[in-house]
Amino acid sequence: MLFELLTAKYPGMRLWLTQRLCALSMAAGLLLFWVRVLWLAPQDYTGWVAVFAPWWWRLLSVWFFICMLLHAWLGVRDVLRDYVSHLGIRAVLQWLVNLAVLGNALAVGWILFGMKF
Amino acid sequence: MIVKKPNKQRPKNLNLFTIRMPVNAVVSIMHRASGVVLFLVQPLLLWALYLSLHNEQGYSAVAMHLQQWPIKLLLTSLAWAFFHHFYAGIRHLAMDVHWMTTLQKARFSSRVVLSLVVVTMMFVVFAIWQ
Repeated sequence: MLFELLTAKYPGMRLWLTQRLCALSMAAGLLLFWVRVLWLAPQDYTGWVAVFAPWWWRLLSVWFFICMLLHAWLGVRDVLRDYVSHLGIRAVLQWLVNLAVLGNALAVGWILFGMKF
Repeated sequence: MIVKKPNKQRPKNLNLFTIRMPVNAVVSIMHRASGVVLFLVQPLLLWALYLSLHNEQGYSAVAMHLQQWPIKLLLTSLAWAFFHHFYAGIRHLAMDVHWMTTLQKARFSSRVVLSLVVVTMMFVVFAIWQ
């Protein structure tokens, strides 16, 4: 019944839900980050590394950044569709945005799970 | 089917600078603008995260830069953009569930957003500049 919401019967619903759910996810994540930083109170490099050391924290951080990138991508897509009427220019700008978002996603993956610290 | 063009004699004024925007229009466009700003700044924030975690020197470099007043100013502006986007976003979510969608209530909720931003920024400015 409510599963219908996720089908093409409700056009735009999936994207709309994605953006809202990402927003709520990020809000919760920011609260969690604030609590963690208050709890651990990092004073220097060692303390800062200790915040991000646990694998579950880095996984939560990746989740946060994925939400942020999805949320931002959807938002910027709306902005481009609203203000850029020339389809050729919009296509170019949209692809630049897509590359930027992909680049950011790879960077996040590298920083949190690739590089050693 | 050919759609007839509307009568060209109809008055129109598209000069935005002569139109006084209601408070909810201001909050709304700032929500969009702050979103774009935050998007443009994403690589910078990721770069700072990378530097701060990579090694001791990177961490010190970030910490040192955060002491400089131009960077503090940038951080303050970004914080303002973030909190405006955040509170205006909550307002959006409220309206999505059909709460405070009438004109008077929408104007009220936009004033609430602006007030929340001001109050939050007082704490943020204290935290950054004390």
